[in-house]
Amino acid sequence: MKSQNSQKIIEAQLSRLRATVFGAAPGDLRRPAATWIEEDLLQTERIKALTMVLRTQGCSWVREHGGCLMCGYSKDSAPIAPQPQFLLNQFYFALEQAKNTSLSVVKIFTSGSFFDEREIPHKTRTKMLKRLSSLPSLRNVILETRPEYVKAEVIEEAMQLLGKKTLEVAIGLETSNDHIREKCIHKGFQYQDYIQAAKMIRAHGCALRVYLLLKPPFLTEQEAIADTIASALVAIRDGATTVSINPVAVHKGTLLETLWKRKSYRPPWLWSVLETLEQIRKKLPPQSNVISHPVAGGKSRGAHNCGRCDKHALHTIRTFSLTQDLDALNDLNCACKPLWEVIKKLEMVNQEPLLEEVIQHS
Amino acid sequence: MGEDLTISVSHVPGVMQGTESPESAREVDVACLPTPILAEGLDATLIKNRLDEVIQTLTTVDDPETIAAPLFAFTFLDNAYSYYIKECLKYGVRYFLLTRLVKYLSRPRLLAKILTAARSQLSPDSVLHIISPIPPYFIPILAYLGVDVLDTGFADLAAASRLFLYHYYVIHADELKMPFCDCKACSHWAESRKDSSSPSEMESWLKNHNIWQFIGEIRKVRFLFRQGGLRELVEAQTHQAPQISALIRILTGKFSKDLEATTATFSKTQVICIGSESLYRPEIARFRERIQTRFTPKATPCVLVLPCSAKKPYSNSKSHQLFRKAIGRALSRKSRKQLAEVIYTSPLGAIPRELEYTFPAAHYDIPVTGDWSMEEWEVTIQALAHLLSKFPKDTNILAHVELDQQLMIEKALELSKHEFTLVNTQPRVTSQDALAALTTTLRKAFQEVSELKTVLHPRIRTILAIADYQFGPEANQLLFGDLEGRIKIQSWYPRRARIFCGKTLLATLNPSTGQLQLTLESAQKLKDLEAYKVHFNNTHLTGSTLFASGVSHASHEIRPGDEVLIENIEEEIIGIGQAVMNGREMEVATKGFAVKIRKKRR
Repeated sequence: MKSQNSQKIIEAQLSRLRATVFGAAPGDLRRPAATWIEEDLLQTERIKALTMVLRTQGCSWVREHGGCLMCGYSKDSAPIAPQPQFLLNQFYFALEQAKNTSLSVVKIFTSGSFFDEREIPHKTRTKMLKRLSSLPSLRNVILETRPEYVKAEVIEEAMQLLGKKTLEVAIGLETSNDHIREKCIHKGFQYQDYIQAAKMIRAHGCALRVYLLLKPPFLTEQEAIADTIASALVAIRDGATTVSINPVAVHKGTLLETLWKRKSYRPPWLWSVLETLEQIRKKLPPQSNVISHPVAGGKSRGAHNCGRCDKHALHTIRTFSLTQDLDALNDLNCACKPLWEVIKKLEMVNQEPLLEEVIQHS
Repeated sequence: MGEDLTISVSHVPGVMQGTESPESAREVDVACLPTPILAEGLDATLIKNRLDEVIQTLTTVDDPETIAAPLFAFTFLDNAYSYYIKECLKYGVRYFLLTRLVKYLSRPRLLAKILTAARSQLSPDSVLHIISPIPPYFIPILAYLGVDVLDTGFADLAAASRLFLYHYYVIHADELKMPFCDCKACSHWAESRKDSSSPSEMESWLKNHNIWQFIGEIRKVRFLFRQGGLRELVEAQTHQAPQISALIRILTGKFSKDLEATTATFSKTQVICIGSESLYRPEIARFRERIQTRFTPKATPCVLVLPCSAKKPYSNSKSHQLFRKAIGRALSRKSRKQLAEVIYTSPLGAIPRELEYTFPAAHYDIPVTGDWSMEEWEVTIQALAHLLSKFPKDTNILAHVELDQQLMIEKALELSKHEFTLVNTQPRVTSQDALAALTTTLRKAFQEVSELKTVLHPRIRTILAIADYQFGPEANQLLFGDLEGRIKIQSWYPRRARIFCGKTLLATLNPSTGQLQLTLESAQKLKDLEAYKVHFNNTHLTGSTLFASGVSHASHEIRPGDEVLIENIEEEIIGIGQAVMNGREMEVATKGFAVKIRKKRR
């Protein structure tokens, strides 16, 4: 009994020590950082999708250049490159979760780039894609990567391995504005890089999913909405087939968190997400989709409204993402909507978020 | 987002022009410089590079007076930015928009620092416009601290949150049975109210009402600014809004020098002192300080300490007239001249009889109950002890004071290390017995005085003391030193006293401010005194005003209201007048009244 207790204490201390040395708790390297099954949209069909976040050595941009201002996903990465066998363990573990589901889509994220061979070695990648090609119900595979790892031979090989399954490449473009991407996000690539990658992906007949960041730091609510709408339209024009709007969530240990704690940043309103979706949908060709799955929605660190309508707003966003039906968006009304309208206008003047609690208490 | 990572607010929504009514308010376009920097806490080189870029933009502007420069509140918390403000001023920018202030509203320490720094770093002739949404009850304190223009954005914000602003209260509109406010918007709402009103009608009523709250505050501030009662309004708020209260306390503590520098030295207006904040308001604290540093008592065998009176100046009060009669019964005319009198009071501390006419001694008003707070005791004891310690140690001190204040006087006298006699043993200092005791004690005290020196008339002593109070401790020697015995005074309070030497008018004493006003003849005698000199950048004065643009340099001791000498480039005193700005402002400003000229050489 006693020795068991001391064993636990030692383990706890060790993991704390590892956390201080490596900056993140490594967890079990044979398990993915996260995996879940959800309803999703494939073209116009509602299907089941498996998402897995693999624990690799992490994003090359983080390791070499410090990463993006709002990104805390590097915490999910392993402190040292996991052995290829471990990566496969993670992959199989995730597939195991879905063995009783008729999966149509598999999404693989690495909190970095799937095609970066330092994260997932070539051999491991081949094994994973082969395994996917053998899943009977599967129709579409989504792989996330930074644009610099999109190479013709890599795409061709992946398509070949996947056989009949379609390949969709996902790129975190964040915005089409190079200044915002460089200064407010620190993403480390240019719009030109995206265009090149997009051309290559589309030339091979693959689908292209683009992630856009709603409200990076240093932008006001109004500027953020305008930027995301413009970015979506430009990204679609330049090849994207699906646009996914990611409202910023405040991750621990990021520069954004410092700003947020200083009250210099407020995550976007869900109203802004709704407006962005509506404006984009209205201008999109029918075959493209615009979707959003707000992280930490309704929480103070994620996109949120007044607290009374958050659940309803999230439900509306989810419904819209699955149906692409504009009528779904008109479903919502709340007393906080006029406040959001005024705040949008006044934030341009105050140049810093106007927090609801400040208004109530001053 | 423009070409660059600057959010240029070329159109500032909600900037209201015209404050007469919400209907007359309109949005205006303001041409704006790029915002200099986006985040706080950057390193100094980065800031400098960024600022240089903005300054580059500035050099391309043809008419800098037509543009506004946005400043973030935090720039005043970091010295790295003061260089930028200086450059803007150098290029002629005179309109500054202060933003990102909202989050500091609940942090009085930083807010005090930001606001005082803003006003001292910007030139006095530049407009400071706060574009962050500010609740209306902040208007008086902001006006007091030198903010010129405000935005009504908070009215919209509150209306959109369905909040009804009423003085310090924020009431949710749904809890409001009936508008109880008398503003136009509410009257209209009450008249036209239907059983069911649409949310948009309600929001527009709330918005208009909230704007009326702003207008109400602004009108009040304007009125009291002209009346000279702005400080009283601000102090009154300390008991209603904790943020304002905290702000005032921090300002009076840490930033008292900044406040003092812009507070007038002489004024006709009443100074109402009620709370503990009043003990340290600039006029009051400066008076106490000047008694310490500028007052020198004349030789006397005996000092009489007396209580203050509600009526000012004290000599006109019933109690002080009774004291005077009692003194008259005790002393010969010659000995009476020798007697020095000191009046103790809160919040001014201790006042020599000579300065009882001088602002704010004749102008302050307090609620008189006879009860003193510990803080008032402390301040008065210190002031009285300091004043009495200026008298030689063998001076006989008689204290004719209220019984329950004897302890205070004893403490003060212990500190000043004088022998003293407490005269009064009666509950009231003005009772027959008390006055009789005063007469006998005084008589006895003067019997012991062997030799009586010839001394100056109390009125002349008053003039000399005021000269010192106004111009510094050696001024009376410079002005009147060589004329001893030849000074004549014509007429006295409540008329304007006129001070002559032979047939030459030297000065007059303004009865409503207690300030000496010099003539060109006497001003020549202060030629060597730099402290109150304004240097004019030309030879001849014309007109009745010296503008700031005509000032080459001025003493930083000058405060608005001070009597100042104007010296030309040939180093001649060519005029005298009353300062409108303080000395630093005269130097920095390129526009505006610097001195109202009263006399000039033809």
